[in-house]
Amino acid sequence: MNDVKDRVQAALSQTGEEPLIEWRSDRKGVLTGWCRLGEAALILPAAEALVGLEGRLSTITAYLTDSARQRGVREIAYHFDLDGTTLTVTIELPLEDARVPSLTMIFRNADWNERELMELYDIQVTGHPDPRRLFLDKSIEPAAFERLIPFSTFTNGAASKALWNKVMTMSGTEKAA
Amino acid sequence: MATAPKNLSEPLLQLYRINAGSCNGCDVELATTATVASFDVERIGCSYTESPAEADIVLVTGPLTVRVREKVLRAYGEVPEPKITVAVGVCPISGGVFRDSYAVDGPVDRYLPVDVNVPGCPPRPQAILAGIEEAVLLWRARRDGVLPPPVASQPHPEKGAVSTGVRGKMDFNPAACVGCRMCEHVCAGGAIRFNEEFTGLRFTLWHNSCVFCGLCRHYCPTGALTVTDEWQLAHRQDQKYHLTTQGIMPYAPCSGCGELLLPVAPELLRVAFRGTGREIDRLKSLCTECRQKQSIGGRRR
Repeated sequence: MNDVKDRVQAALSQTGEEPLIEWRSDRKGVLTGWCRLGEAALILPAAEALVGLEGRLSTITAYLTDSARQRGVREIAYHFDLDGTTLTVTIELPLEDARVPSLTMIFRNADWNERELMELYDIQVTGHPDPRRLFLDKSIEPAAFERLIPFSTFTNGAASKALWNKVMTMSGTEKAA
Repeated sequence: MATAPKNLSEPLLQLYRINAGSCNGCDVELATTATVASFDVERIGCSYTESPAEADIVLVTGPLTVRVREKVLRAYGEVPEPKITVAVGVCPISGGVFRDSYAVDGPVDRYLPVDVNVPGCPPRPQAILAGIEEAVLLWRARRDGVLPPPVASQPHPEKGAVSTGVRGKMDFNPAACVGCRMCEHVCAGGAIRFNEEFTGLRFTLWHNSCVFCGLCRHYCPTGALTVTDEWQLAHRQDQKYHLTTQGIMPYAPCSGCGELLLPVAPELLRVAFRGTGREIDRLKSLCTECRQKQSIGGRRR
């Protein structure tokens, strides 16, 4: 186990800074590592270093929490798997004009994760080989998750309102069941 | 399943599926109509085609996302007239749980004419077959230039073929409803509304938006909502907004001051007090204020 810790520490220090990794172990001995990088751009060398350990990218989570927003930042968590040990590497990005390098050339599965987070958040992924929309149509403004909260305010339930007006008009005269 | 009379002179009608952003639940049920013998569409004189140009009947699943809208309309346009369109599942009919999303542009009938609706989430294969049977009748009428036959009087629930208590039409018992509106609150599909009217509180459940999740039944404190075994909900488009279950809980005057109030359902008394008694019977027809006066107001401590 210590072996993994040492190897990850050595690998991540190749990024040029000595990262602080917190290791936790549960009752069954499953080890998880948690680490924050000082600079968002360091995720690229970090990912390259983890490839050297035969690490794999599980998924990428972009999020914007209230507490982070109050600090003026947003975060992305990259979840790596190192032969059963999960390592979560978190980076902080500014709220506006956030840019982060693409990992798609290193981990193919980052492709869709990065395309998705680009349309859901105001984050630019630089160097992505295919930065098309993933789910949302081109006609929909990007950063949907930032713009559309609260959801009900944005839609105003317009479709529901129109349909229910018809339901009540057409069935209002029916005898009660 | 009562199969349509097999007329050997009629060629098989070709069905073409369009997935308009479906979660694939309905598509899985459609797959059973191609692979499971007892639900096979060939029994009702149809077969599936991969080519819109060969199709006679179009089956649409999904809420029509913005993303696929143009592709859907293009594929639909390639189907030659006369064509009959069947909306399979509540999503194409009303948007279902996806209604009001920024990425959804349905219901489908905003963009193309729908003839038959098969609500459900997903509908049972039997219901899909019933919808396709209806579409076949409409297609023949349209081809022959005659009025479509009247709707078959009674659906034919296939006893024993349907497991009970899931994916059936919800039923509502107004006598047990206390108007707490929990069902409206938890309804995943936004299928329940309460309206305060002059004479009472009106409950409306629109089956074209119900996703069979059963949350209303689960959370109803008095058992006013129940799942039935009635799966046959396929209907023609002109019935779309009529497919409701309604009930009115009439207001009754307070026996003290005469103010209108929603009477207490016996089911609620059973839940709250495990029954009723003379004292409860006397107090239950009173408004809050009169009840306080009559139950504790007279007694001085």
